[in-house]
Amino acid sequence: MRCPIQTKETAELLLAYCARKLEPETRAVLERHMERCPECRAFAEQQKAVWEALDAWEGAPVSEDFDVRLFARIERDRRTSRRARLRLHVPVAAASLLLAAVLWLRSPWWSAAPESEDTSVVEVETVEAALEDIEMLRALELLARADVPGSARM
Amino acid sequence: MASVAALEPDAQLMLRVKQGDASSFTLLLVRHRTPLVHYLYRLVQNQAIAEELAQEVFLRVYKARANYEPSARFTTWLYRIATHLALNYLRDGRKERSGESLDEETAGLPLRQLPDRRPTIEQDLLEEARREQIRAAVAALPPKQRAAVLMHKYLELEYAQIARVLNCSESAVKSLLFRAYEKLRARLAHLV
Repeated sequence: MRCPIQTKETAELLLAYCARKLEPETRAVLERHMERCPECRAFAEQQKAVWEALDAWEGAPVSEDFDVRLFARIERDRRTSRRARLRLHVPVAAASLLLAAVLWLRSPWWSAAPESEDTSVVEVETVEAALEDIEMLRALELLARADVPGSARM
Repeated sequence: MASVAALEPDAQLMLRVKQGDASSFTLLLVRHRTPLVHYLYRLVQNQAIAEELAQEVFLRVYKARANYEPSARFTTWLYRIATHLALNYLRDGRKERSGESLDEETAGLPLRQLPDRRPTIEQDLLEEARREQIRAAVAALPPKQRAAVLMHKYLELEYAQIARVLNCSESAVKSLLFRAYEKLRARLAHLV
C-alpha cells in the first residue's frame, strides 16, 4: 500500500479511519500499513485524539420556548408581508380607478351629455367667430362707401 | 422529479408543507431543531445568536415552501441556508461591534454542558479547561474550515454534501478539512 500521508488526496483515508468510516477491508489494509509506518501511525494517533476531544464538546440544550418564538415570528412575518402587499396594491388600485375615471369621461357616451364642458367651449368659439364676421362686414361697408364717386357729397 | 414515495422522509415532509400541511413543518422542526442549533452554536460560539440564526433558517424554509423542489437532500438545503447566515454573521463582524468577546460569551454559558457524573471539583475544573481549549482551537479556524469540520464531525455529512453546502468542489472540501484538522491536531493532540 502506498503511504497515505504522502498526499492530501490519500490522507482522507486516514481521516476516514479515525472517523471510523472505513470499510473493514480497507481498514485492515491501512492498519497493516501503519504497523510499519511511524508517520501514518503518529498521524492517526493525533487525529484520533482530536476526534475524541471534539466528542467532548457537547451542545447546550435548545431554549424551551424556541418553537413558540419561531411560530410567533412566522406569524409576524406573515402580517408584515400582508401589509407590504397592501401598501403596494392600494396605490396601484387607486391609480387604476383614476385611469378608469379619465377614460370614462373621455368616452363618446360622456361627450354626448348636454352639460359637457366641450359644448361651452364650442359656444365661445362660435360667438367669437360671429363677432369677427360683424367687424369684417363693417370694414367692407366703409370701404364700399369710400369707393362710390359723389357719395361723399350726397 | 422523483416520485414522492421515492424521496427521503424530509423531502416528503417538505412537499406536504408546500401543500399547506403545517404539522409536517412542525415535524421537520422537531427533527432538525437541536442539531441545527448545536451546529450554529459551534460555528458562532454564542448560544443566543445560534438560536436567533436557527429561527431565521426555519423562517426562510417556511417562506420558501411554495417554491420548494426536492432537487437535493433536505439537510443540504437546510445547512446551506444556516451556513450562509452564520458565515455572513461572522464576516459582518457583529461580534466586534457588540463589544463581546468569545471568552465573555463562553464564561456566561451555563454549566448544563457538563456531564452529571463529575465526581470532584478538580475534575470539573480540568474538564472545563479542556473544553475551553477545544472551543478556542475551533474558534481559531477560518470560518469556512470551521464549518467544514463541524459538518464532517458532528453532522457526519458526506464530502459531496459539504461541497454543496459550501458551494465548492469535493476536492476543495477535502483540502479544507485536511488543513483544518492539521491545525486542530497541532492544538489538541495533547489533550488525550
